[in-house]
Amino acid sequence: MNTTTLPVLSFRLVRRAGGFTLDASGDIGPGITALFGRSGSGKTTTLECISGLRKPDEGEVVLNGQTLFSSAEGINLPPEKRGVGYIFQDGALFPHMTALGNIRYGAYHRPARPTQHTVNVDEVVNLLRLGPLLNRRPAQLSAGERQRVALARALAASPEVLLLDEPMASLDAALRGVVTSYLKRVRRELGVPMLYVSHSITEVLALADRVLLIEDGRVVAFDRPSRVLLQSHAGFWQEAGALDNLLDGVVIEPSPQSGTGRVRVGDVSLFAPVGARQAGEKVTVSVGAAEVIVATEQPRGLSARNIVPARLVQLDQEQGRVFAALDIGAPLIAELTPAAVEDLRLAPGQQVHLVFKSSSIAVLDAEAS
Amino acid sequence: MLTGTLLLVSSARSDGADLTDYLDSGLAQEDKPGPVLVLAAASLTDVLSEIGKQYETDGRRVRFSFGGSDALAAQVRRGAPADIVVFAGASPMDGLEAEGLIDPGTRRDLATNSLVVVRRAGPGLDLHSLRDLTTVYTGKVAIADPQLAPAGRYAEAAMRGAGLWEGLSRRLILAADVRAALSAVSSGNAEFGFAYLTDTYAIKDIQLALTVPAGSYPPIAYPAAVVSASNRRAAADDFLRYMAIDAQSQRLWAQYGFATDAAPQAGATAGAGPRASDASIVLLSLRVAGLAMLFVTPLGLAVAWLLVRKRVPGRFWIEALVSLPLALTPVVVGFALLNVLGRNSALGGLFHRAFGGDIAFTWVAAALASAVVAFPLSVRAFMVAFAGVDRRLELAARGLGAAPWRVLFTITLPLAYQGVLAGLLLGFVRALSEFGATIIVAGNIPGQTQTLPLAIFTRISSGQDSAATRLIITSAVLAAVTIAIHNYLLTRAARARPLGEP
Repeated sequence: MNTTTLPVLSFRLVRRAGGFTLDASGDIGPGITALFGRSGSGKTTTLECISGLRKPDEGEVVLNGQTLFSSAEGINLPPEKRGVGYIFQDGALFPHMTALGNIRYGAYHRPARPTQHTVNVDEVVNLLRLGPLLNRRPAQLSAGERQRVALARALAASPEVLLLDEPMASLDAALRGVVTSYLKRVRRELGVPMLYVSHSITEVLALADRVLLIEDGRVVAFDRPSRVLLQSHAGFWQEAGALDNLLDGVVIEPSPQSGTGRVRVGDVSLFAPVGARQAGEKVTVSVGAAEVIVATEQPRGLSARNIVPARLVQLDQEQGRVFAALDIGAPLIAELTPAAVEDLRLAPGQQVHLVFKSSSIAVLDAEAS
Repeated sequence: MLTGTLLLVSSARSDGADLTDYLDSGLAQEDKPGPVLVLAAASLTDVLSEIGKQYETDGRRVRFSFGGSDALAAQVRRGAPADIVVFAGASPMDGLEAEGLIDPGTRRDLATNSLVVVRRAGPGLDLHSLRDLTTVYTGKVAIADPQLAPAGRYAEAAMRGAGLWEGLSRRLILAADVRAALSAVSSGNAEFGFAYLTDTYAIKDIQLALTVPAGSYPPIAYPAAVVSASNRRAAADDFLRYMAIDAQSQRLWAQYGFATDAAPQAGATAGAGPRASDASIVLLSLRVAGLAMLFVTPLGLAVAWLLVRKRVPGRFWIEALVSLPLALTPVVVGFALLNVLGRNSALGGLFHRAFGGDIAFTWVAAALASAVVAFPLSVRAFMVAFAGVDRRLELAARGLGAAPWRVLFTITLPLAYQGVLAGLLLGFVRALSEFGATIIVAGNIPGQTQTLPLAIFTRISSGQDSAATRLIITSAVLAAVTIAIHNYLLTRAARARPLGEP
């Protein structure tokens, strides 16, 4: 399934500051690439070096064949000439402009050079459904709305690649689902490659096509999310806090009466509160990691309606918490107690059954349609 | 003190002075158009203004700049574009003559004055001789400081002659000038004071206690001469002769209490002389402060931006240099500017040869003086304003494709609006109140460089208290209006943004 295409963005960066050395490299293709790692592992510095906000000590950055930075050739394009969109954690909207003013700012300064995508303001406003917000100022927007405007502003500048620095760090779970769906929409409709910084495993599983795993300033893995996250011993689980699985799903059986229909996720179908959604509608399914029960045998006589087979890929124990990486045709994380793991004698590779109540599943709009 | 100031700045004196003199003497055969500029002792403000008005009725034009005689001589040495000088006392003129800066053939005494002792108006306290100051009375005696003013030197000479100087030394109040000495008497802080006869008519609550015998102090003369560097020689000669011997002038000298060759000193009969209208003074002040801020604003914003946002080498020294006018007395700024703009300087000389005009002693010079003094205040406020702008917003704008200068105008300046406005306000109010540097580099020419503070100073010095009070109130109102405009602009900006936003 891997077709060999030229990378959109290639970088090799060395930057020393204090006792910390960043020495990272990567070849980013189309789609969404997550730059994943703990706080302080060098994720944000990597983005800043690519966008030109910071200068690396050595290395090079090449975007669609154009050299943006090269210590060997003495090239260092200023940020405004790089064609790189950058989205800050809190959006960094201009407080003295309306939402529309912010978006137009991006469009107005669009670099006059051939880019693969030229995005106009109307298009991006429609795509991100910003119509009702256009005349508001940033102070009158919610955190999620601010991020959508920041996304629109960056896209209006028609960047060749979009860098996002933890754009959902300050959002709650429900808003994350919404912003996630918008990012997917952007990927599908506009095809702008994105490099996305995150230390949230939930986001990465939900969004990324590829993951660059970075530890102590070095890239230690670059692969599909399930492989990187489920097979590495990165040991970052403890940073995840209350963990939500965000999974792509499709409604396969609507139920206008009870509200509980069926949704296909990966290889399984789940009973879930689909509300008034129609069959065939794409959704994001949210399941809390702590809501998932693991059984070694097929349970019987339960009130819980979702009992699905899964393969245990990996167990990761950190500071008294155990996370099980499971495969149901999609990657799923379950949080267990160490005692349960011991009693059940769980081991990677084992076939298990997962149990959860349909009421513990939240169904979110995937496309906000 | 003044000498020290001059030493500090005199190194900037141009090597091209000889060349300038040579060129001037070559060009001096025909007069430059424009009014004759007279630098005159402050004590002659009223009478010379009146004489100038009479002279101008014939279509000839003359402008005065009034100040202390020693300071005026210093201005001539630094290349002030003066045509005539009139001093109180011979010594400043002797100095200029020895240096070849005036034409000795034109020097003549316009009038003389006498030294008197005054007391507070009212009964009692009569003096029969200077000796009574020690034998009959024990109160304080106010004189102008002999170090600062010729009047003080005359008073010292008279007291030394009477053998009183040592005995009185502990009872002396040394004032900055004659007017201050008279104020000490009228306010009751001193029992007696020494002054010129002509001063006693202008000040209320004062009366003559004793006329000091002539001969017990050097003659008090007002010598005038044409400046060697003048390029309006014919007109200057003409006006000097008019001041000295015209019948109208003779009448005015006498009217203001001065003695001339033609008439002995009899006592003044005239009130305060003519002066520029209050409205024209306010307009001039606004024009000067406005132009000053046109100089300050772009340069100040650029310097503040560089200091806050760029890693400039020698940043500390630039900051120190910017703040220097705050630490120095404005008089130093004034002389430094005169060194740059005066006709003897490289820049001023070049301007003079190129355009035939001068910057020194014009309203533009007044604006430059105000600009230099206001600059540090504005830059400080601009720096605080820029530092308060979230740097990430500027970086975000760069990332969207905006070049640095676009970012400055679309992001940084709008977000720093309040602080920039405060900097403009501070600078403007400071420029409005500028005095020390202005009077040195731009003189004190009514209608041209006499801004509000200079006019207030002149009126207070010549005892026109109510006229001075009017201008002081005007100044206060002007400051209040400026602050009101500032506040209005702030609230308008706040209203344009929703609540809860910084």
